[in-house]
Amino acid sequence: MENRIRELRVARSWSQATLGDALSVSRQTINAIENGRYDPSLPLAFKLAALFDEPIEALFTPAVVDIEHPSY
Amino acid sequence: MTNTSKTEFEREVGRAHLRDFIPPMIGYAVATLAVSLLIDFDTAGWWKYVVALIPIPPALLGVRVVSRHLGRIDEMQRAAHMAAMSVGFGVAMVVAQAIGFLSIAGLDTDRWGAWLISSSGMVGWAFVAVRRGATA
Repeated sequence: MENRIRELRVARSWSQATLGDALSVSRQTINAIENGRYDPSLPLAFKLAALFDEPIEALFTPAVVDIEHPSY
Repeated sequence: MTNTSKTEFEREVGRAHLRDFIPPMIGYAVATLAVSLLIDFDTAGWWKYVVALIPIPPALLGVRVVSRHLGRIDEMQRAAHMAAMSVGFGVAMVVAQAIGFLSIAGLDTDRWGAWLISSSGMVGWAFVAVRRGATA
């Protein structure tokens, strides 16, 4: 799944740690979400949307599932 | 905007994990040392089997600590650990099979086989967890 988290975070001059603190997650989790290595759960996605004051669909774009390269 | 500092959440989780982790690990180390130094397993009676299991209760407490830790960490770290554990389990099973085949072939694996199985599983777990971004 693609997302605009990095763009929105940088626009607010927040560090990954600042965003992580606001969401009670680790900096690595923010980094993994921003780089598309981890898709957040629905509750965390809603928290992100609320924090950035954006609808959830403005933050995330579904990607085509790549069967040849599974995430696990 | 990208830095390597930890969030307060991570620090809190780390502190709580350390508080949980240290007592059973000290218990395990002391019990293992005491059992290996104080008992002569070649001459002791049937009770040596009971004594040999003394390090197991603290080890079980260690399992509980890991379980509590998985409940505390955030969802990505938890997913990383679960994926890493599944790989660690697979590695341990393959190593167990390899030791089994070596044993059939005549190699004496009694002294080290079980330790290699458990440690290979833990190494597999740790390797994948770190690769997937788990820090705690």
